Amino acid sequence: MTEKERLLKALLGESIDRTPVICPGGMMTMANREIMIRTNCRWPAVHRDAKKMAALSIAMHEETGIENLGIPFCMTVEAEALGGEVEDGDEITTPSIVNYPLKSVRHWRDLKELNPYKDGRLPTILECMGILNQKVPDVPVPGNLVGPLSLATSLIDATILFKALRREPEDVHGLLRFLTDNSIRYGEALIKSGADLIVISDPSATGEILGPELFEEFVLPYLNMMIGRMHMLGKPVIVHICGNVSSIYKPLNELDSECISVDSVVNMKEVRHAIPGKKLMGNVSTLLLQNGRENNIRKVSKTLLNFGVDILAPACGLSAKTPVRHIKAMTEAAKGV
Amino acid sequence: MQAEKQDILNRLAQAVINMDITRANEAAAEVIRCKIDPYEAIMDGLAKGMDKVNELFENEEYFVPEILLCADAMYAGIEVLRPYLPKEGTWNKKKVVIGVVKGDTHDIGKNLVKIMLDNAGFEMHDLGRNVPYAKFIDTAGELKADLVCLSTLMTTTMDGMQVIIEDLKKAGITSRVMVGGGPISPGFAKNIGADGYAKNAAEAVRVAKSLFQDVHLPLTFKTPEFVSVRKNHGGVR
Repeated sequence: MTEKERLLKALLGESIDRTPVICPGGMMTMANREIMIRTNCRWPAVHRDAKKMAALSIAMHEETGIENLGIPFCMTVEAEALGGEVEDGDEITTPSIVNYPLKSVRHWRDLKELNPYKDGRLPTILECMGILNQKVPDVPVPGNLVGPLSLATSLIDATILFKALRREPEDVHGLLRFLTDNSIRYGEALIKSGADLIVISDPSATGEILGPELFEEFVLPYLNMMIGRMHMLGKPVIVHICGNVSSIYKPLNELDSECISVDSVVNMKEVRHAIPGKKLMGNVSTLLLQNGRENNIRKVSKTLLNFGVDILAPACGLSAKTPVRHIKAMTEAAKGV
Repeated sequence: MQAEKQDILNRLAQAVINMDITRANEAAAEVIRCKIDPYEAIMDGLAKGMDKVNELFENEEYFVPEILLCADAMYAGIEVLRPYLPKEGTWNKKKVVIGVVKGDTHDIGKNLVKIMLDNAGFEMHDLGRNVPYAKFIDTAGELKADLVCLSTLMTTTMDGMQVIIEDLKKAGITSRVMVGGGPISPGFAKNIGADGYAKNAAEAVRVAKSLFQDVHLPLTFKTPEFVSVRKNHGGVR
């Protein structure tokens, strides 16, 4: 069974020989400084170079045992293509948005429609996707998308956006609808370039920030629009949500994705009980992965596997300073080494 | 008269709880008209409302958008009262420098802590987000800040906090340091030499206050982003 077959079967609930272990990329960063140095594919240059991006993610796959290729290494590509100003970070910090194109929500109409083959780094990501598909066809490559609400927080100050949820709900819906349509367009391009599945990261859509009522109104319908389109194109979808999700268990049941990925604060047993219909991915603490002992990492991973997590994964993006042997402690637990 | 005063104070509190800027403005104007002490109106009216908001937040009845709007109502009231307040200097407020460490641009948690500390009577100097390390050192030095609050949401930037704490010491700056944010744990805070750790905005107030009394609260706190404190190592409990 190839890694690609195993992951796709796991998502569809078909029988597999063992649990896959992945780190999707995008917000859930899959890169490491040791390997950047060894391959001479270093941040920040890698972020704008399709060949180096491909080389780094292939080396990550080979040396850590993570069973996918994860690109890009940040969650800023869509926001940049839509007019956000990005600072590329350094050898251990990911790119981040430093200037928002929107000053108020009602100006969303000024945003330009996205062209995935032309705008910002999107062509680089698509090119990289093509290289990966050609070089390592048996390893799954997720297409990484940012959820509409989180994408909005990269285009406008989050404080302004969150206030507008109550003050200017119609304009927020206008903005989110626009972002959903444009993200779908980028998602379609990712699939055309060879993405095997779609991972939507929506860190700001956490129940901790929004609560159930606003989550239902401003997050759920847009995620489901994206998921619906990706399903039409035959690709399964994983949705990652940060923070504590206990306040939004009910609406999460209505999410149409095959799988939900959760943060390390979340108790998997509770989630399985509260959201019985979903595959679960997670949730080895990235702090433990960076600073913990290998033994503990192995133990936490094994506990998750014994519990029956459907996909073993870090609970968030990996810090670039996470030692390779720590990541291996997690992947070897899944592989029974 | 006393009843009228109490009524106005209640209306101030209620306007904050209801996120109602217009009502906050009106009630604040009443304060001036009835010659009520504006400082009392802030403490026993607006701030009291905000305390209730804090409670609603801790009980998960209010979430971040609601807190931000309540704070707007509170600030609207304060703006009306400000011209009638005694000069700032007479308040002898503790000076706080706050910011999100370089490499991270998430500042909702930081903004909430700022609102809550401001409300609790601290003088806030906000450096914003993605703040270079040196900016914290320089500002703390210039202002002779009593407290420096560092926030980050990302594992990738938390190490910068340690650099800042070391640089503050090297520069001979004696400001206390409080840290918080998604990936931060009390253990991490202690390891890097922080004086306090806050899990969220409500607790940030308690911890900040405790740093200036000789009372040592347990190192725990709670802000939405700050709520995501990794108490466990993930997995199954």
